[in-house]
Amino acid sequence: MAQMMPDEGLDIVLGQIPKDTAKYTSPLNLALFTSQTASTVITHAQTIANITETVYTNYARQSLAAATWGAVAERPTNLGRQSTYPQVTFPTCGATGATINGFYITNNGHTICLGQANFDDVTAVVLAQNDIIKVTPTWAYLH
Amino acid sequence: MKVYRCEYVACSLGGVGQPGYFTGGISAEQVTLLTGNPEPGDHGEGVCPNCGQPAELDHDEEES
Repeated sequence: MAQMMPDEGLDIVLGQIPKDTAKYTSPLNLALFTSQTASTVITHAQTIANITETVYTNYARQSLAAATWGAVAERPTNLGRQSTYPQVTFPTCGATGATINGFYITNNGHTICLGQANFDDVTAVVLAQNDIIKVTPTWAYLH
Repeated sequence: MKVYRCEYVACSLGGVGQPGYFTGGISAEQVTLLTGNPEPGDHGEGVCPNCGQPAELDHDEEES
């Protein structure tokens, strides 16, 4: 599984600590991508413009509200700290399906990619009509 | 592209305890699959593809 917090995403994080020049706006967006591959993501210098969002029938990106992220807890074992969001269900696929290579989290206006990841089994999800995809995102900072 | 917001409490769309969002809407065939009703009433644009309930228009999003 590949994952990436690209430069533009780390800039948002650094803009809060230590620089205190930015405050992100909740909710963030959880989106699904069809670009890259089931085991690769963008490079550090690439941006949201390099990611192709899926367009399967009925698809829409889902909100990640700040207050809904779970309690901050240890990233096992003693690797750092993390918060997990409750499982998010995407709309049931309609007539036209898609091959999903993973998910990415964007800022409120969907103009910046904060992080992109494949599914942890590095297997693409081939959505056909009536299929439903559910994602449980975790955000971790390592020591 | 119109994005609709489903707030039906029993619908699993979106995060737990939060509304879900979708584009388009459920087809009559999908409603039949979902409910068993061979002649469903609500279907099409703006009807939630997860639960079959009519949803609210949330916003209109430009194609990118």
